[in-house]
Amino acid sequence: MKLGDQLRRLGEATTDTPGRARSVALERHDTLCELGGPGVRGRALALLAEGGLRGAEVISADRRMASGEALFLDTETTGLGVGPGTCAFLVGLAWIEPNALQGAPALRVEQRLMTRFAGEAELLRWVRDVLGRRPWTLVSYNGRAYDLPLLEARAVMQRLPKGLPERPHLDVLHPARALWSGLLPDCRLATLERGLLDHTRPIDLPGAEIPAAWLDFVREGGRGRIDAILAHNREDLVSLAAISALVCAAFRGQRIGGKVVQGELGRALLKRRRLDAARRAFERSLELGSDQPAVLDGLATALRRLGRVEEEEALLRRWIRDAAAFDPHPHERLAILLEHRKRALDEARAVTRRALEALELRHALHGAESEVVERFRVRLARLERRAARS
Amino acid sequence: MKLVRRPPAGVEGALEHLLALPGAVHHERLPGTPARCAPVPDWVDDSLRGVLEERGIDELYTHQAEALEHVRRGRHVVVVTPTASGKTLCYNVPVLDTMLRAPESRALYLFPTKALSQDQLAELHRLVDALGVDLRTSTFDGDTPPAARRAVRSSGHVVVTNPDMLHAGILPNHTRWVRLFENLRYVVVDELHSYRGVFGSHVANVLRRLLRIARFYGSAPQFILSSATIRNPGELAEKLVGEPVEVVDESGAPTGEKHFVVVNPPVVNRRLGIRRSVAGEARRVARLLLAARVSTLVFARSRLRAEILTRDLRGDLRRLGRDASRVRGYRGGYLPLERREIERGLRDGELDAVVSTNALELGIDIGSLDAVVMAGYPGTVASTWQQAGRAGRRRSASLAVLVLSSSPLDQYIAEHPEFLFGSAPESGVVNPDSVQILLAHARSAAFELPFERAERFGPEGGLGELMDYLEQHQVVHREDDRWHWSSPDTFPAADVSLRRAAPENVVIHDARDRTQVIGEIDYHAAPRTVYEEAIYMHQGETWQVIELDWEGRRAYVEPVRVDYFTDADTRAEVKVIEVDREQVAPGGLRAHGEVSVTEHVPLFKKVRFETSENVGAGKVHLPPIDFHTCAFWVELELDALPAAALSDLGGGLRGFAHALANLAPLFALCDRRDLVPVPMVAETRSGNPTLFVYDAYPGGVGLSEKLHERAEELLQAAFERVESCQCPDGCPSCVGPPLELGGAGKEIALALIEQALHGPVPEPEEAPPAVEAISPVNVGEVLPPVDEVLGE
Repeated sequence: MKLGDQLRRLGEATTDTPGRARSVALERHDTLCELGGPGVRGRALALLAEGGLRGAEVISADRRMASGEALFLDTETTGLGVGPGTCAFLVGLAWIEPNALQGAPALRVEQRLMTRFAGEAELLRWVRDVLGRRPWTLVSYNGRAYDLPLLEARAVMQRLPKGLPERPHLDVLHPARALWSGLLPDCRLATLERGLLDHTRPIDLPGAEIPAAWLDFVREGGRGRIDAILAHNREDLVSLAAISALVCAAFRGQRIGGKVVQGELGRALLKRRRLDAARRAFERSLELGSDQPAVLDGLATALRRLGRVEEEEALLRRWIRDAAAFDPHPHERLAILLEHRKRALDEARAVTRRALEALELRHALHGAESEVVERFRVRLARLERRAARS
Repeated sequence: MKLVRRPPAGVEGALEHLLALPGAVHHERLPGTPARCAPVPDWVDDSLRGVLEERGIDELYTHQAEALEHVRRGRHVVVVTPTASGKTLCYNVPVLDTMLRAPESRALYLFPTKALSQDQLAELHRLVDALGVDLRTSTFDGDTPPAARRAVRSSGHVVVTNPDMLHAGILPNHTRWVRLFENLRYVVVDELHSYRGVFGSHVANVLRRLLRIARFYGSAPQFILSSATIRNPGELAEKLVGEPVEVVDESGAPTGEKHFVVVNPPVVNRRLGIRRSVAGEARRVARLLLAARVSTLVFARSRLRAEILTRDLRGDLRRLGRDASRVRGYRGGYLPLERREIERGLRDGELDAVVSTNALELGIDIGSLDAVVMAGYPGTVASTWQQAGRAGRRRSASLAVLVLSSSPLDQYIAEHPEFLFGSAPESGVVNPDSVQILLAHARSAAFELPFERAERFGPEGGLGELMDYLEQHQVVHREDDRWHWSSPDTFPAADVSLRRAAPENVVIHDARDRTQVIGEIDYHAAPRTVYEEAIYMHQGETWQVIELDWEGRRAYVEPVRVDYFTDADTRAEVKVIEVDREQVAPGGLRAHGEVSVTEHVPLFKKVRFETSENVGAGKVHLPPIDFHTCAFWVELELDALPAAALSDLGGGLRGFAHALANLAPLFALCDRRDLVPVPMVAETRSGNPTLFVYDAYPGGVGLSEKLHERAEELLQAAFERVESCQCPDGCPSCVGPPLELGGAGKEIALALIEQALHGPVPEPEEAPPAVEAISPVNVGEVLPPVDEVLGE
């Protein structure tokens, strides 16, 4: 039996597929975007013009990152995997061009769109050439895990000599998550765009429809949703630029966002051992009205590590005083500070005893917390022994 | 059971007692052969030569030298030599030699199972350590932690993996394996004979994909394969590799004298054809060996039976006044550490016997023993010799005992023990162009790299048709002379399991923990295998299906201890679609071609393991299934049949089918369940009585084609089996039990086989018979699959 007959028996075809040659395999679409303008997104872009990527050095150990000029990257692909069957049919790159609009800087957005598979080699050569043009810092949203590995795999598939030049890479997803995950339902770029930049796109093609839209275009011709894909990619790039400006500004200590963002920023900075910056962020969060134990605790930690004992003590006492309900945590911190840092044993004993009384009462009423109670008992016993000895 | 009174000493003494057993039907003495050696070739790197010498290897065996020479001349080579003849050296030496000269070179080692790859890797590690060079050998399989994978990808010189991982892990991510593919010099395929049937057909396609990708990166690897003894190692290797392969099949390794004894348990019920049980007889033999203080490895056919035998032999040892813990069980899934412990125990004389499932059959190293007892014919001659090869000292005599069951295959061996000692009878069969398998891999390959018009994939000239099909289904898109992957599906290889033929599967879950998946089975094979109450065998363990969710394609099973298996009573309707080849002879014809099959399972039978007796039955409620496959068939001219045959043509054909289908694995390396016999009293087109034997997988995997090629031998074997069987009118060992056959079934079956072989038996006839389609036969003992240990 012939293979063809066997295949026919397996199932009927779903559509007819006319081949259609196009003269241009790769289209170019270049636009300029004003840095500034109305709304949060405009103001964020203005921040980018002023400060560039300064602040990025806090996010990554890579020293080159903050000083480099930003090259924003976003791709649209034929599928969601990174296997060799998926390719990036549209690549958008954007950078700041000084004196572009009547002497003012602007964001230059360049896009290359494959109209056929045959356009891929040229597209990748373009990406390679732009990347090699300057000592850029590549900026993306989840590009470390997705866009860049995909482009690198495509470069291998096209046997592009030497592959893509290596550049420092700021993937904004991670610092954005550190700053805003508590504030927004998720940290997808579209969510940040709406929630943070207060920007709504007039019409937008949902990302999930993009692979099929392009494959339809390649199979059947008819630009249909192609312009919508281009617009989607352009919007993504502009929002990426704005978000990265906010992230860098936050990390370099510029005040952006409210008490929650400042609190999260403080924690992100603390994790990266940027103690003074973290302190400022926590303090700002408190100024803006935060009463979160996590913010108070973060500030106390920052102060402790900075060696500012008096300030830490004042903070802990204020925390204890202003707390709506009894909280053993600041008591414990204060007792430790008094015992070990200030060597004020009597005071330490007094704080511990007061806390233990409150705790034992609460324990009698509600049960639980027995470990905490035990810790305070041990501490008190030790303090009393030390007092007896001296 | 009587205890052996005076324990005889050693192999010779035990042999004497063994031959005195009433069931000892054959004794073959295989004289030892001295080593035949050849010098280590001049071209082998000096440091490598030094390391070999340190390990006591001053010379090579002739087969090793021959293999090395073929590799040296750039040829693909397959080495076919017995267990423990040093075949790993045949690939390790050229691979290491190449790497010492060109450290960028890479090699890929493929083993069918994980346990094997661990052992072989340890061997390679030892050589590399002794060389003191920085050659990394790494395993890449499901157990490799993600963090280690990057290192394997970029710096592993020798990557050890299995076909499943190559298929779903490496090839679809080839852009991360650039170093491997750009420098791939060798592909080593060990245990070639296990790549057969559906699995082998898949693996052939995986290798096609591997070669495409290697070509893309500019490399053209050489294949070094090794195989147990089969009839057609060269053919199988060439089908897998797709290029000519040199065969090295004369071992130069020395062997000690070996005694091979075949034991056929005596008949206890002549009328029903029931013999003493295999397990009981194997225990009797093993006990005798224990008494003679001969270190023994017992192979049981399932984990359950291995456990029972272990328990019984421990009791026997205790009764002999010795330490019961000197008998140990062994099964698949043991860690290298436990194996080392067992190996050490055997070597140091701390253990007297190990009872194993066939997990130990493959090249897993547990050292050599004095004796091997096989409880039941392992299903193929290749396996028999692999198991027997576990016994064998270089200097002293060793012993292999094969205890037979009452299945037709085993009984055929009882009458034709020479079958085991002549040239290898079975062929490894693959059909890489089986349409569903080919298509699945064409998809995966298209995902990996665009297809070019000038390429070849599958049958000559078939690429265009494959691509047209995929293009119509919007899986690929043609642009000029290339087909590009154009489906949003991001991982087609994930949908394809190498151990199964069709993409849609029924998943088998543990009923105690419903999230636990135990295995899966082809959708089309499910009604024959996982109906409710069915006994499902998995890695030597018995499970019972307690619920089948047909719509959801899920079966739920729980472990049970039973002494029977279940056999689906498949009703199948077969229609010939196209005749491929046909030989018309007087009295009938033999043919091979494509058929359409409608299978329906109305009921199942419970069949006792040891005796093949029916011990119960049940109903099955499942919809019929249609598919296309390949079949071999024998059509008998109705007008030429002897008059006596017309009295019960249905019974006679069922008997014919029973004998033929059970002996089929003699000629194609396959499991009994891979082929389905369907007798039809009146075939749809000709109206003649016809026996179909079809490949149990959609599209076929080449088994029925092999039967057609060797029809003469197959029919002859069936004839001899039935003619020589001593039962009066049928038993599980020849044509099936008389209850299912009708009184004259055996006689008629014999007449039908004779006509199929030699043309009409001269005799007048009259009165045409009633025309009806009948069910396929009850197939007596269906042994658990030989390759169960391979796992999923």
